[in-house]
Formats: sequence, structure tokens, C-alpha cells
Amino acid sequence: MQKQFANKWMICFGAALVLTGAAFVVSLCVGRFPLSVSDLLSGQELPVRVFWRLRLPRTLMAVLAGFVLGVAGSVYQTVFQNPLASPDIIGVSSGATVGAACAILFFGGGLAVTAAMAFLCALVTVFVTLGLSRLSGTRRLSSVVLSGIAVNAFTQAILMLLKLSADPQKHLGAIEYWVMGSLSDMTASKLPLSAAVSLVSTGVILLLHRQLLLLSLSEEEAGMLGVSVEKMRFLLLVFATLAVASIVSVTGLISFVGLLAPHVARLLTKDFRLPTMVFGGVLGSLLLLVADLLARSIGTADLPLSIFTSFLGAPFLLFLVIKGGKMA
Amino acid sequence: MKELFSAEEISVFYGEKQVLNRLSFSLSAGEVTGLLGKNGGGKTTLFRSICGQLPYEGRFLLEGKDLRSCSAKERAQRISYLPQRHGIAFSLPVVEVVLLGVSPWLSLFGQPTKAQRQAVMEALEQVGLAELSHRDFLTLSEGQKQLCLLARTMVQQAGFWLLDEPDAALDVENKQLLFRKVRQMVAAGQKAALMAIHDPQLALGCCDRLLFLKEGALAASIVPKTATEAEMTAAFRLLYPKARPFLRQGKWFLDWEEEQ
Repeated sequence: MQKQFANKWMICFGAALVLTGAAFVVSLCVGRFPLSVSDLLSGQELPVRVFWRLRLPRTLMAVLAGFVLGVAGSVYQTVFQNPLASPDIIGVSSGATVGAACAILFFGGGLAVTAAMAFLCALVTVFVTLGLSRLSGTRRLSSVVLSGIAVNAFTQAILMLLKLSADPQKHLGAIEYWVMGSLSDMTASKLPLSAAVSLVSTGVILLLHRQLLLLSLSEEEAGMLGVSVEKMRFLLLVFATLAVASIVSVTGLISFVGLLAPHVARLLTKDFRLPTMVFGGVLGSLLLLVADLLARSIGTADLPLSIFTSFLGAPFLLFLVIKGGKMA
Repeated sequence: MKELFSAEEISVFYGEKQVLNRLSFSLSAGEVTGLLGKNGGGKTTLFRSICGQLPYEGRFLLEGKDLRSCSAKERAQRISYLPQRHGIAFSLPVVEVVLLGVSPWLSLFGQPTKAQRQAVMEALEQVGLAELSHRDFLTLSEGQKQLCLLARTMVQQAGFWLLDEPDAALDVENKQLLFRKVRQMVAAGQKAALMAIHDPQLALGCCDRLLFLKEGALAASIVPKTATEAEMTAAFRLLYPKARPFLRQGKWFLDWEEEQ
């Protein structure tokens, strides 16, 4: 029985890897400027330039962003012991978007300042959420989610104000880009900083996977198994927030990947240890690669990513609500 | 017998309200001590204080060391805590739940060793769950879950066991198994165990000593093996006015006076 289950999960993981690999290859070829291996080998300058400067960075970013959002999503869900907690739902992503919008409006919108502002605002949002939930005095996790919804609404309101005051010609388009997320402006120069920060943060999260496992217990139990609960929760949330912020600072807000990917992984493996976290990351990559492929294939211009991730994610969220929010 | 744990003048306040009132007692190695008290008597508060989750006055000494000076990790190496109910929210194989017990002995990024995994399987065999080691913990019955947590407590290898009404969800057979295992492990490992327990008859059957907690104060402390019937009756009636302990064939039983 156990062997059968292990085999089934290995097949799922293998299938996810193969599909991600296939989507990666298709993503390299499909776009406004179609590419093929023969184009690249022909030595023509344009296809080679498109490949190295645009297509490869964009595809790598889709893989990276999906993986990071998937892993970070499992951190939020485990720390808050709630399958509905995700970077977007507790306000991290929208906080980062407010930061990015401020950077665009007031500081010129350069990559470094935008990333820094996005990170700072995401961090502030997470800890405001945590702080508000503690004010209730109950430490119930539902109060964290409710606080997250309130903070999310507040950041959305700030974002609306910023958009209202933005110059329609100069800034509004850039802010909209953030809100809906897209990889269409992804270039080779934007990748290294974001990749370095998100990979280091995700690496630390994966190294701390046993601590995360302990945080899934009640606070009392985790404490009596040797975890400094408050410190470890803080540390993991900082790294998860850093990872998410470093991604959305480049891509803009991407909905549902952080909720959907770890969930599907847990449903399939009935587990949430390291392999499941990695599996969730791979599923996130696959989802984002597919969403990005659809975004650039449907219609004449690139469509925002969140349209497609939301189309896939929203029905799943409804499925969870109907199931009564049972834990995977 | 060697004194292993002591509480000295412990007081706990919730705002203005005093919940524990200058509580002092000590526990010896090799002994299981039952903590009896009505709901709201201060049992959980005492446990939470020992776990370091509530501020308190006074001090707890474990093998001579003040618990205030222990880090969370050091505390977990010295105290195994078996909660009334598990706090596991996500699916996890039984073997992995038990493996969490070795966490206090691992470094921040550390992984369990082969020997620790072996110890986990042995603990699962001892509580009769070896065959379910790969089952999802959340699909077990409440009794099996509690036995799984007992196995986790065993692999934690702490000298002091803190058991918070561990029998709450168990049927009669599993209650006997749990208490037998606790007694065996405590006696064999020269550990001390403090067990909050609701059923006084059960406490008489499995504890070497009984502490009676009433309104946050220690009302009585008694060793059933050496106590007289008058002493036992006096102690029990502090909490249960109609209780009538009696000795038969070297064992204590509890009878209740009928309503007039």
C-alpha cells in the first residue's frame, strides 16, 4: 500500500518535471518572434539576440517565480496553519505592489529602488498583519487571516489612491503593470538581482524545512520540542517575504500561484515535508510557464499573467471553500 | 529517592487574579505523580508555567537547574510534554510525527540520524503502531494519535515527563496501555513524571504520589502506598466531598457516598 502510494507520488513528481521541461522548451520557442533551433544555429544576429536577451530570461523568470511563490506559499500556509494563507491573501504581494507603486511615483522606478521599496512594504505588511492579529489576544489563526484581509483591503485602498494621483501618461501604465503582473518586459538585466535574492531566500527556507515542520504544530507543542516559536516564525516569514518581494518587484502581482501550488502538492503527497515543498515549487513553475505561454499566445498583445493564474486558481479556491477549508 | 524536579513558591497571576498561590512540591526520579484538581483549579496554568509559556513568580528547578535559565531547546531536552490533544494541522506520516521528538537534539539545519530513526521504529513497536508507521497521522483514531504522541515523548529522551490529561481521548484498553508504558519508561529510565489526570480512580491505580490542587493552592500531597485510610479520605474529600477511598488486597479503590 505504502509502496503503491510512493510510486504514485514519484510518478506525479516525474510527470510535473517532464511537463515543466516541455513547457520550458515551448516557452523558449513561442512568442511574437517565433524561434527554432535552426534559427539559433543559423548564426543570424536577431534570433540569437532575442533568445539571450528576451526569451531565455523571461522563461527562466517564469520557472524561478513559480518555484519561489510555490515554496513561499507553503511557508505562509504552514506558519499560519491555514491552507488559505498565501502571499497574496495575507497582503504580502499587495504590500510589495504598494511599495513598487511608491517607487514608481516618487523615486523614479529604478530596479534597485523598486525592489527595495517592494521588499520593505511587503515586510511591513506581514508584521502589521501579525501585530493586528495579536491585538485580539486569542492567537487564533483565523484572526491572522482576517487581519490579512483587512490589511490587504487597506493596501488596496492605498494603491487606488496612488493610482488616482498618478500621471496617466507617465506612471499609471507602470503601476497597472505591477498590479496585474507580467513577464513581457523581462530582460536579461533584470534577472540576476531578483534571482540571487529569491534563490538565497528560498534556499534558506528549504534548509529550515524541519523547523517549518515544527511550526505546523500548536505553539505549545512546538515550544516543547525545542523551537523558539516567535523567533523561528519571524525568521521564516522574513525569508518568505524576501523571496516573494524579490519576485514581484520584477514581475508585479501574480495571483494564486502561492496558494495553489503547495496545496496541490500536499493533496497529492498527503505530506508537507521537504520533497512536497520542492514538488509545490515545481508545480508553481509549471503553472506560471503555462500562464505566461497563454498570456503571450492569446490575443495580439501580451496579456497580464494574473488573468491566467486566477482563472486556474479561483475555481480551486472555491473547491476548498466547498470542502469546508479542510487541511490537505 | 533522588529529587529530580521541584517547584518553589510558584505564583501565577492573570491580571489581578491569582491563579496559582505559592505552590511548592518536589518530584523524585522513578516516580509518577498524579495532579488532581477540578476544572479551573490551576492544572493547565501550572503546566504552561513549567513549559515557559506563562510568567510566574518563584522558581522551578530541574536537576538543580532553574528552568528560567534554559533555552527552548535545553528545556525540550530536559522535559517531554504530552499534550491532551495533538496540534498537528497537516497530513504527515506517523513515523515523521514521532521523529519530531528528536528535534531538541538536532542542530538548526540538522537531520535525524539512522540511530534516531531506529529508535523511532522501536518506540512505535512499543506502543503497537509499527504497522501504521506510514499512515497519515490525521487518519488515525484519537486513541492511536495519543499513542503516537506517547512514542514521540519516548524518543525525546527527556528526564522529566509532563503529561496533560493524556488519557482524555482513549478507550479503557488504550488507557491501560498508555499508563503501563508511562510507568515502565519512568521506572526504567529513572525519570520523573507529572501527570494531570481527571479520573481519581485511575490516578490511584497508576500514580506513586498524588498532588491535590484546589483553587490554585496545593491542598494535599499523599503517597497512597504508605497513607492510612483516614489520610486518604481527608485528602480526597478536599476535592471530592463524597469520595470514600478504601484499601483492598493492597490496592486503593474509590467509592462514592450516595446522595441522601
